[in-house]
Amino acid sequence: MKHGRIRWAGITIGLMLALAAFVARSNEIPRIDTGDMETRVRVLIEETRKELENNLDAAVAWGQMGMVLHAHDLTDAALLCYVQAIQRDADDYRWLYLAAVAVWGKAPTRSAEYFAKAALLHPHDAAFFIAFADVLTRLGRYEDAHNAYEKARAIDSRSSFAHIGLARLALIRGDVADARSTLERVRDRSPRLNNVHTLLAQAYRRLGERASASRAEWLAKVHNKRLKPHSPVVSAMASLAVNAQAYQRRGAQLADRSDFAGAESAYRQVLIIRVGSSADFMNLATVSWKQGKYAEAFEFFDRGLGLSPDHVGLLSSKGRAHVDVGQFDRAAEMLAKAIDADPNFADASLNSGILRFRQGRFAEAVEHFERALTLDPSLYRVYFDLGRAYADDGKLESAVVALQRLREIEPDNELALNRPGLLQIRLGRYDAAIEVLDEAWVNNPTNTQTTILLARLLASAPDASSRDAPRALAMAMDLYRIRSHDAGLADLLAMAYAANGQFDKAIRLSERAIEIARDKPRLVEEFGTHLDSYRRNKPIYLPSEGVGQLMNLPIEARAENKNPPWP
Amino acid sequence: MSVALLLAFSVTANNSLASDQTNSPSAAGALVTSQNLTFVDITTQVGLDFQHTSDVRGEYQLPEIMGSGAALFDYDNDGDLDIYLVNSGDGKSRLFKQRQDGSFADATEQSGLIHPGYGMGTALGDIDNDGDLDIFVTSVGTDHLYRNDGDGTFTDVTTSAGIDGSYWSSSAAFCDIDGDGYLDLYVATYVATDTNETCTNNVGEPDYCPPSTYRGVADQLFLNNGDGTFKNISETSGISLVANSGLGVVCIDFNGDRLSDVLVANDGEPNHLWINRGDNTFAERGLSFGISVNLFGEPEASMGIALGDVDGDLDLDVFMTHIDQESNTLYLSTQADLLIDATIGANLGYTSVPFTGFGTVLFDADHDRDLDLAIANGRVRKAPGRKKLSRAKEGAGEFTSSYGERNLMMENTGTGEYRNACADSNAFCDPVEVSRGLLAGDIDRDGDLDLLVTNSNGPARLYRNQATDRSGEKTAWLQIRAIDPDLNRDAIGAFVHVKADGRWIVRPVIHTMSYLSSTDATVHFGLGDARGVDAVVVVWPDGVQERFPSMSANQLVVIRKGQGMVEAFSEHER
Repeated sequence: MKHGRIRWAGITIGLMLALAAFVARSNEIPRIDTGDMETRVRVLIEETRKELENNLDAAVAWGQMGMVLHAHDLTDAALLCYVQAIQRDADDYRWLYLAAVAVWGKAPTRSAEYFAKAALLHPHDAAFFIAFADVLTRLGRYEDAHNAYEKARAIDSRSSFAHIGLARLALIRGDVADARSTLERVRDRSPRLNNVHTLLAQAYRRLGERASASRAEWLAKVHNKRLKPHSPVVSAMASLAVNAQAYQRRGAQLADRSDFAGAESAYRQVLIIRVGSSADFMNLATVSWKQGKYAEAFEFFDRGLGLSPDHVGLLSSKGRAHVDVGQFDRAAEMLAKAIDADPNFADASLNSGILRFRQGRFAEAVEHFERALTLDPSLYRVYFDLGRAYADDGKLESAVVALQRLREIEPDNELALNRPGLLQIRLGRYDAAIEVLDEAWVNNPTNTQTTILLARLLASAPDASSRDAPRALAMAMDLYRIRSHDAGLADLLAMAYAANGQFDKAIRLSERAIEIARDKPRLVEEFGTHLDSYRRNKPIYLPSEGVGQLMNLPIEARAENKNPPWP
Repeated sequence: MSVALLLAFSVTANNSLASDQTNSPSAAGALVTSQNLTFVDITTQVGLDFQHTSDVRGEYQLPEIMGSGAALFDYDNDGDLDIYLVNSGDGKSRLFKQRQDGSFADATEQSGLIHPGYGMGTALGDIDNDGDLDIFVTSVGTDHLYRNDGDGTFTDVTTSAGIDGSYWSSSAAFCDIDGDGYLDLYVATYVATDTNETCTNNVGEPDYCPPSTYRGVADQLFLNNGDGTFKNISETSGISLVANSGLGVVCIDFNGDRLSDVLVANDGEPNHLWINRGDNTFAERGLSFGISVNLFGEPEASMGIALGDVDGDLDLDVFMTHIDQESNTLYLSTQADLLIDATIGANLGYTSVPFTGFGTVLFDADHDRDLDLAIANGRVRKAPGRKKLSRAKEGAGEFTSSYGERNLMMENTGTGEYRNACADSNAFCDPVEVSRGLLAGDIDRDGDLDLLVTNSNGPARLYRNQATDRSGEKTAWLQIRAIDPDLNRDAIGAFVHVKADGRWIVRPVIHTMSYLSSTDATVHFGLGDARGVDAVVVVWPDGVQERFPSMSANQLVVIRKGQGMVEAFSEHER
């Protein structure tokens, strides 16, 4: 009797499974009401649907339909399509992965199930395992999460996100010291990752290291952009979106990468799709201005301000554009309006600082820059402008402090490394200058600016103990070999030869420098004095009281972080 | 079994989109339930007739979706809780007086508490230490301060008090920032809507813009001069140097230095914990205290804040509500000045992922001595497949169907975890509405805490707690109102500890919590089957610790500063 029941139960289950498989392979495409949708979205959905109708047995067609729907946040319908794709091709982990992503917001444990199935297919995608591990962590399945992070690390040993995930699990289990050391390693490798600093702040706090916690807290505010691991599968899905919001996001991403032409193209799509808002016009104005297309930029600014005359962001950005074209009065007017409307809008303070700097009102520029940094620590590259403003205001010590701050934030920022060297030279602190420039040179030996400065100092420091003439000569020769038509480098090599007592060569190179610079009287005069000195068998040494005119980097280089030309 | 039934089963099995856990009774039925948390909707029964409206006209103006709050307080000092409900747009804010029979009567006109603006939230506080509660009403535009004249009427003293500024303020809190015995005022501000923005969702249908579309606005801090006037110290205190989209606020000492700090729930940005330096300036230290972001280092769309000792270690823990796709977050205090995201372990994470939480309270709903959770939910992003809101009056119905969600109640099991308690004959979880404000208070004076919910473009609802109706069960309780006869009359910022059956329980004395809402300062303790408490220790806001004698259960006790024994609350007792 009992066996009979089991047999019937087995038959029933078998029947159910067969029917389930049959239904799962049914060809019913989710119905979507596209009535209120943007035209492009509607057309895309309808076209994809037609493709699918012609390929109902193709997993890829179902997956594509799912991705199109998913890209437009129609996750319920997308999930149905992914399920159909999975039924048709159980070996393609993408559909399981995307199903897991789609279902997270509604059914987190279901999401984990999809991830787990996808993981069995061994995708070689670190971002997948990080996403999986994050879901497992959120579900409290820490052991499984640990394994998934480890898998991500095995695929990409340098994945900061995998290490951060492991550190988070260490924090959860109370192994704070382990978390700290992991996070410190990640921080040293990826100093701009926001969540490494947020977690470090907590780890330090739990360990009672309050000073370190405060510093980590500050760095988290400075590096406030949160990055996510790049997932090709999810990115491919998201790239299918054709709605205005998607173009706006795309524009912002491209602008962040300084691809202003690409950003403009995306932002123009927004205006094709919908009537522009003040924010839409500001986006277009900003990327036009960044490309130097000022007439278009001002037109967009005005269209935005026509909609929202008190839009602080528009006023501030337009003011900045006026600075660029030298319309300082108009700039001052715009920026004053912006600050009046919101005294705590950091960008307006920054732009006011740039205006004052351009006007040569350095003390006022300092005030504005300081305020901008107080209001928004993430504008940290303003420390460079602040340093310049201090330097040009004659406050070299304050300038050094500002640049040191920048260096704390971005240890690998070359401006933060070689500019303090320049300031130390101006202050006559040649040993300090050599030390900091040497560090900059080690950080990046290909930086011509740093190499030139260091070679000059090593050849011409007033204190003999600071000089290293053979090293200076080696550096100068390397530089001259690459750019033998450069008058400055010929002069540098002459200086290095003279420092090594090789005056014949010094004279020949100095004459070459004068010949190259023949159209530049100031240089010809300067090199002439050097030549006279070499003819008297005397090397050139820097004055012990310091030299001036070294912080002449265009302020725009701030954001681009480019190296300046040799002064 | 028919083929049709089998087909239906298999479709569900393969394609079901249902949540892992919903707050519907059927879904929660598989969980271990104690059937303890029982609430019934008594709104109609008690005559609380209030309909919120935010002028939904199909234009998707952001204030429409943010709702309004409430205040629960005894404005006329007749011994029962009255209700003030804030309205927006065309609707009028209303004051409801509780009659002796427990029903409510509209007393707005008689009281003079007629708020003229597009209201948002409330902050209660006895600003002049005269023994009655004054009320500050935040708005989109000009806020208003109403002084309680002690005779059942209010006077608008906004101008004479020097409360200036016009911005979109959300939650506000009165607390004594400078320790002078007069309540100061912190006002959280949301975003600047001085721009013409229209937003669409990801298929291009119109929807409310996310706050990131707008510029955050710096919060405001006003110092009470003690003479009926306030001084704006937003700039000098450092508060206004950071502009963010603030929604929820609580004001309490977070680091044990006896100074009132301020926690602000920011929407989509890191939360702020303003640590009081003691010289009327503040330092923002949310990150290193662990409360700015969640365990993943992510800032969340924080809306409401609940405060209480969740794990019974006598430190204050914090619970914050968030948008859907994010979980709500529980921050457990592990040391005096460190909070750790303990959401996952407490089972408060993925259960909340499908919902957008706003108002929230930690309260001992079932009198088992630990703190349970109520959460008012309602979307801010349109539910998929919903139609565009029309310009017609019927827009309110469309609004609710597009943005409504069920509320959530979670019971503290006492083992460090919460369970979904919506299955417990719990009317609180039934309506699908756009809930925003939420307060707990003993409205029917039966000893347990009832719930008041405000809904955006919907009715306010009152839920009666039936905890004390369970005869013969563990339903003992104690309510304490701490009073300082001299200054800071309601002892805002104090901590009241009681010892029952050898175990201490603590409650903070605060007015503002949840979202856009504030309540009177009476603290409530569930005592299980204890007949009373063996000891009461109050740590007053100035740090003085005072011990009061044992008290029997099931009563409201008023204790006054200076009438107990000044005695240290020793650590070993804890």
